[in-house]
Amino acid sequence: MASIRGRFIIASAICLLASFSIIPSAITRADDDNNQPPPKHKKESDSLRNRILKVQAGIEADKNKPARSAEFAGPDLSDREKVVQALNRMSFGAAPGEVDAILEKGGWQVWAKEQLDPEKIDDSACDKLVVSRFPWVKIPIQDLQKDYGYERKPEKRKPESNSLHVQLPQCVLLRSAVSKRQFKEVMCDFWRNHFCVDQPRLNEEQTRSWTDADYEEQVIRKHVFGDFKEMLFASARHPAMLEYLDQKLSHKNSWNENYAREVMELHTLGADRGYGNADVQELSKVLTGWTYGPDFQFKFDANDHQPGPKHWLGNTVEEGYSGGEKALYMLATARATSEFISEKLVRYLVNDNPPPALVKRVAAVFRESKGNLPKVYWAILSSPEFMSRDNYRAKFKTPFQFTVSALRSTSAKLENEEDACNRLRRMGEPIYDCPDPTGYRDVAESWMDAGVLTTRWQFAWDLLRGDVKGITVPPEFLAGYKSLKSEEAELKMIEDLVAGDVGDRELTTLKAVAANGDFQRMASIILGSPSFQQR
Amino acid sequence: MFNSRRDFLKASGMVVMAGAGGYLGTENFIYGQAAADITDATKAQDAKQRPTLVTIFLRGGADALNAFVPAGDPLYYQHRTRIALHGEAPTKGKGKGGDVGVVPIGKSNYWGINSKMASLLPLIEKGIVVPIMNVGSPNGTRSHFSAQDYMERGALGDSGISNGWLNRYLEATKKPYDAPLRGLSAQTLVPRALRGPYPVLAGNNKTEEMELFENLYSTKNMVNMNARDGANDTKGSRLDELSKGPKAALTADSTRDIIAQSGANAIERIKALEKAEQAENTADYPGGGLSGQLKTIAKVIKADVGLEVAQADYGGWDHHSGQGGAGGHHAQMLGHLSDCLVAFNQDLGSRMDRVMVLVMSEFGRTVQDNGAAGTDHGRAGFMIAMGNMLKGNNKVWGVDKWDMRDLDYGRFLPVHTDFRAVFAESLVRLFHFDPFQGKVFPDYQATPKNFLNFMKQQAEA
Repeated sequence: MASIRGRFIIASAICLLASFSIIPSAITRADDDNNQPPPKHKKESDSLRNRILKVQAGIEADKNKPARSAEFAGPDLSDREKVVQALNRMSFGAAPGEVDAILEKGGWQVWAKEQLDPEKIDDSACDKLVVSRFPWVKIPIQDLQKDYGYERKPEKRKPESNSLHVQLPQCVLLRSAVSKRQFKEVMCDFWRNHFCVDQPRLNEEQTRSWTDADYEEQVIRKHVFGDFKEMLFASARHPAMLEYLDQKLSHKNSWNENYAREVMELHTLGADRGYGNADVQELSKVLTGWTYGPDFQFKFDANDHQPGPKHWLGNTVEEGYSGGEKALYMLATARATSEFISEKLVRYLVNDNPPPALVKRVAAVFRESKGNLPKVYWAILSSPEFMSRDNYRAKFKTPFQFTVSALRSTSAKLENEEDACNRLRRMGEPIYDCPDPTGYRDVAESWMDAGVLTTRWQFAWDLLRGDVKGITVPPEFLAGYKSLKSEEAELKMIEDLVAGDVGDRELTTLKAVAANGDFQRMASIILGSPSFQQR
Repeated sequence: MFNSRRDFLKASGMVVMAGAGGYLGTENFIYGQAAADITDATKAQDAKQRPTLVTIFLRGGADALNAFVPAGDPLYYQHRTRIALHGEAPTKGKGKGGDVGVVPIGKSNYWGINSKMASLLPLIEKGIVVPIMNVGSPNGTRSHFSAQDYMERGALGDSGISNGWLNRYLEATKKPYDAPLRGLSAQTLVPRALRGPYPVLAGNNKTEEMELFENLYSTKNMVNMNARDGANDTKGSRLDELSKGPKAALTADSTRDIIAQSGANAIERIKALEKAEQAENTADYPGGGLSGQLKTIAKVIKADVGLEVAQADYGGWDHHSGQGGAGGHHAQMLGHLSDCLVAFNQDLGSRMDRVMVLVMSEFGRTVQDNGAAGTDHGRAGFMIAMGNMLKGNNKVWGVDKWDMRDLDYGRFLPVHTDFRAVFAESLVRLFHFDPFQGKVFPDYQATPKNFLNFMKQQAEA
């Protein structure tokens, strides 16, 4: 705690120096910069979409970007900071006391390795809670429809009919907040966006309002520590995906290109990676007949399959189900896929602008391990880049990450998440309702608009006052601070909620409130502060 | 002490985020002109003289044929057998459903207007309200979501554009001394048309205890922590690198700066809005959701704070069933819309010389009505423009009378005018802004020849 105090003094000193030291040379220099001619628009030879996707895919990431040399890297992270970094990236933020507990147990690597083997972590409390509130997580899809499916006629509805599209987001939020298998939850968030499906409004023709619940269990959660290939196959064969990207509407002689395009562009190769429109068409034909039956099990309908061999990506793909299977296998193991997935993962876990050298190394591990996800994750987590100061607290929390971290850092008790889920909608990131098949974007730029922070401030304020319905911050959370002197309480709260890392304005603002002993307000200020929006 | 421009800017209390990410404030030094060079009088003058484009989005796919009715076309009555609108009492019989509810437009013996919208007729006659038919998207999607999205992005399906056309206009024309409220969403969320790099506020974003957060988010004299970490050392190189552009990696410090700037933008806009809302409405608006939004927009326009684009949303137009005839739900909503437009026009008076309202919906409906007294998703729809700079000529625009014989798939109104032609004309004629030069419509090119030419060119400010 003394260290925080020290930092405050240093900050004030810098502040003072800054206000007195405007020297002429600096002014001249600034003027020079301002007299530069305006940047000219470069001629666009490529469509904007292609360029965006190329940059996302890392094809152009090397250009124009100076390699960061070691001299800018700053001092190594301290052991404590390493724990904070691990918790920021591998969990939805520290719960009270968690940083100290991990330090005592031997530091971040010990904790990280536990997290990479989630089945060995005792998470029975969370599992019990989830099953008691959301029994459908254990129900196979063919039985799900009976009690939970869509029912148009009120007289035929069962108590749980038409409810899963509300329950599923709640269940996702609950698990993310309370599970001890935090890294698993964090990676589920990643893959949910990668293999994005949405929930349409209740509707007879669209079954995703309840099949998505099974998708979450059988596609995302089941394979998050497995092989990429298996997750790809599971998604390709699941009724939610078959419906979402119109594969079930793709027929012999009238194929639909939606899934064939997106499986290459969004799920595997990335955009413009050596395939053209003809390849999209051919893959559409390859996949005709992939649908599901009345029991919501995957079904290959040979009668609806486009006959004959197809010429796709320079290969001849045979007729029949096995042709589609081979095509997906080729996609899963393609070099471009290893690069595209690695780049997205590095962006998610390390920096909005993924260091190209790291992406290259991770892609190599992806190929060598045949897409074994825990090995790929570890290649990122064990890299020097992951623990470099450049990447420390350098990500802006998405609305989902903000919300879950606010719940975790206040030890909030969750009894009903509907209100919280609605607030997430207002923040622009409703769970299982991304408007685009791309999933939510994972860069600060996508989330920063002028109104975005005000909804977070309101959430922080309401959470602490108990105005987020169904969610309570236990009295113990604030009681811990009440016994302390105002100055100590302020420091401890800063340490607990933002790992001691705040700006001078936050300190000044907090000081005034701490002097009044208003800890509720202090905590909400911290949750609404710029520092808490970083991870 | 100050080895970089960014250090200097920080220390002098000026806005710091030039370049880092490129999606930040309005006050960036983008064109080599420092905000300090512009006098307050110049800024105020500039804000006063800006025209305003107000868009109203009817969400759900509003039926064009129930608003502007081809009552002189027997084909219309052959397709609409249950909920058609008639000029005079229909002869009852099979396939002759519907009731009286249409008034002729001008001297047309073909086009009429839903009688619930009759309050618009005097404005149509004066040429300051322009109905536009058969306007829509080259992309034939019938998904509400996609169609709304394409329209609000001003770009079609595969273009990869994620921000809105109105935001791209704001971004392309930003100046170092922009007024805080150039863009406004009158409802609680920023709709896609206004989303993007340029900061736009959604109304109703007020937060309790804003003063507290205001202290946190002011960027004045902001000095980063992490001093012990070496980030604030005198090398300055980290900060210099950040100012080079969006490709530079984000670090803890730059991330915090960006967040603080974003919060400061929000607070600045909330305050400007609160101040602007002190202006008064001087017309009787009908009750209901749309009128509240239009009242807010009218106040902000009257406050002369430089509002250029604003959007209001009016949802609930997806009448698969229960659309009804002359007294039906759909007609009631059209009536509300018309009464709101009339009140807005009256409220703003001569300011309508520089304000244009543009009403749109993501698509129209099937020409045929369905068995549930409703209509299903169609293709081309309608728009309504209103403003003193229009040259309406007391007629329906965008279509001649024979189009009922030329339906897509025998069910949908065909698209004669790309919605972006209307958007582009609005930007050119209202703001003297060339959207093609400014890349506002990345996958669309047009010249004034493609325009409907329903607007007079606004005099230069």
